[in-house]
Amino acid sequence: MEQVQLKRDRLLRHAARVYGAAGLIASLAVLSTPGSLGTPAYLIGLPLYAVAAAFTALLPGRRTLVWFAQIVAATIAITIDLTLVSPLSPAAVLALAVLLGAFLPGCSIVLFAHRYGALVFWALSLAAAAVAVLTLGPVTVWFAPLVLVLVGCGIAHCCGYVIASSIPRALRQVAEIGRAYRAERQASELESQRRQSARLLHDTVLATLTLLAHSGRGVSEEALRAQARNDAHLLRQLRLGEPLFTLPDAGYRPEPVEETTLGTTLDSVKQRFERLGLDVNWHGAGKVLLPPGVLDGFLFAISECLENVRRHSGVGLAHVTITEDDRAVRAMITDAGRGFQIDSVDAARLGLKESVIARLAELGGSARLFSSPGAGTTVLLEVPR
Amino acid sequence: MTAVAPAERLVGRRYAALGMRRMWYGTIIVLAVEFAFDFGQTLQQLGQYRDVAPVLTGWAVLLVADAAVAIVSRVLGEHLPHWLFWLYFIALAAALALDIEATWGMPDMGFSFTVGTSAVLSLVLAAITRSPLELTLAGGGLTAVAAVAMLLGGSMRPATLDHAVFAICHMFLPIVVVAFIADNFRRLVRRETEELLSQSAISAPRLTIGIEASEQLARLDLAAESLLGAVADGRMRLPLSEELAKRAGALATELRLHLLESRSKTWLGLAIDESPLLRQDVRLEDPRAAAGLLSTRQRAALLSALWLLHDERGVSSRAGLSPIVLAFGEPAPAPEAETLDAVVISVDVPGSTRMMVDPGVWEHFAQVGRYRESIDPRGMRIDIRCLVPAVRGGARGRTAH
Repeated sequence: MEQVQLKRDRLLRHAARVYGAAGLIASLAVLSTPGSLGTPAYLIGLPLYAVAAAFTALLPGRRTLVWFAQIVAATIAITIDLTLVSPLSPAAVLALAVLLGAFLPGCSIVLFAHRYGALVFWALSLAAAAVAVLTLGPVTVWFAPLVLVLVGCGIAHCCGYVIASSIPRALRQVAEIGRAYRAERQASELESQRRQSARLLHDTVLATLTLLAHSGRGVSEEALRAQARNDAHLLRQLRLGEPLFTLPDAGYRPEPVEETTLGTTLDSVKQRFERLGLDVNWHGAGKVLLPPGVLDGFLFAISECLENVRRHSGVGLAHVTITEDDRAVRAMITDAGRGFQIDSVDAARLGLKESVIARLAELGGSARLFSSPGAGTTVLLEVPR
Repeated sequence: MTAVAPAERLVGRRYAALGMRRMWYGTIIVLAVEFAFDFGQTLQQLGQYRDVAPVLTGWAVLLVADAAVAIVSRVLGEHLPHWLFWLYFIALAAALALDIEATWGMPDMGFSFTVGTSAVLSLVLAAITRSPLELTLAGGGLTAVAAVAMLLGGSMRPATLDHAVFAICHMFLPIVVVAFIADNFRRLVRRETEELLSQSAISAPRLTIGIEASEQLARLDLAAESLLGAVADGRMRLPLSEELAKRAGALATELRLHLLESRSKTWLGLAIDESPLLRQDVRLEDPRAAAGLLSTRQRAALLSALWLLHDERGVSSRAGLSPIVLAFGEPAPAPEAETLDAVVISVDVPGSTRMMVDPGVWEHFAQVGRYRESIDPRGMRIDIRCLVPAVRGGARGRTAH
């Protein structure tokens, strides 16, 4: 609430300064007409107006009452000057009315930041009106200016009241919107987590799309169609928010599971590559305990390596050996294919660098690649437990 | 990442006039007082008009136009379409013209203007829905017409010049003042809204993707689903045509990029991206996504400090000021405890000195971590060393080979 007060008071100060400045400009402009131009009152009045302008323009900061006292003092000085120094001209009367009906009430808007501000405001306004009545002589002279001053005070009061009372309301409304937005954000966060955590699914979808982009070369039409059907089905389930039964480790988990087994998932990877024409032989541990996020990344890295074997090695068989100790789980993916000169491959290609290495690094793991032409390829993957 | 829509959508049209209802009632009351004042004068000088038809028609036009605009902008939820505003402007100009016609030839038009003054001041009804510039221009235009009429009508003689000047000030200055106040009010509400919306990012997990990116991913998934579905049930024949193959490739690339990018976005990147005000003032350098490691409390404090710094820049001249740069260092083991890492955040605030900064900024920075500030001619730099939980799994120090 304190913040709200500060902001409200700042706006009141700004408004008071601009309102007051406009009143001062109008008053001086009216005074600078032939009726009073060049009179002693005008000549003495000019520096007083300059002082009032300086007071108005100076940033009031937090000591608004001091600032306001200066404004009142300047107003009194100008009033005395206009009424006493020279015989009153109609222009001077009008200028005085503008001063008391726009400049002073305008600056008084700052008072609405205080509890009894409105009371002080009207006490001052009535005092100003009384000054006008007492100093201006007969009724015919003071009646119109008095109306002007009172109307001006009424309008300034309305401005001050509206600003002071609508800011806290507006900020309350803003806070409500903030709450609604936070709820929306949380829902969307959950949804995106769900989609993001369906990593393995996205990985297979990516593989299938890539195959399609190459017009499905090197894969039987039937296998590709089956793969597409499987993926479309999973995407549909993801969209409808159903659990992805067929890929239990990849998709939606209503309650996060601490540890998951590799077994069934390794099988699903194997089946996928079999459909695409690559046999995968698993060796070593068939059951590995890993936190779900790490497991996804690890499986993704393995499938990405197998995809490389399928595309580039020229052989139809790959070996995956999984070992583990207290600290880490490792996978070695080996093929007896044509191999390549490591330096000759552009490591910046999205394939291995971005997908495998970046993904493993994020999990705190690493990947190493060994290959030479004609001697096959071996990739070592490691993730911490 | 392109402009992120949700926050902008929220602070856009629908909430532009938030909390403005009172202000709107206020302008109507002020205007009513002005009308009463001017109409009283019309009645008083009724005998002096050559013909009372123009001035009375003027009042009728003005009342109808004002009522129409008040009702329409109320029904549309504090919104006034462009064309309606200009139609309104024409109606006001007509009322002013009728008043000029009525008072033409009177010795002191500046004093005799009644419906004309009310017509020009009626523009304040549009203050909550139009920009201050538009309002000032419209008000200035109408006032200029009135001034020219007084000049040509011979009312700018020395004897009546004070009334002419008063009439000009009385028409134009209130519009400037109201436009200014409404604009300040709008700005305040907009800034508050954006700060609150950006605060909702604080609760995000270490890495997040934001509402917009989440929607995009859903869209890509749907596109992939329909493509794969079409292949599966034979609607698309294999091998795919070149065009379709290209589409599949593009989709795969986009999806891959999306899955990669999404992993590098932190709550702070999100908060800055989603707020147009912060976006133009703050640049974030955080290649390691270290911002995600901060606790909720640290995040809230850092964001509040950023908003305060943003406010200071709004007060001083903003032209040509280069953005605040917020650079996150790499997490490094902290000597304090095994389980903690230290991240150094350096905040460069160009063109600022300690004197200018709100004291709240230091309180907030102190909640983020131990800070040290240094001042040089270009501005201020604050280095904050904050302690965060160590990255899981002994990942520290290990890199890909």
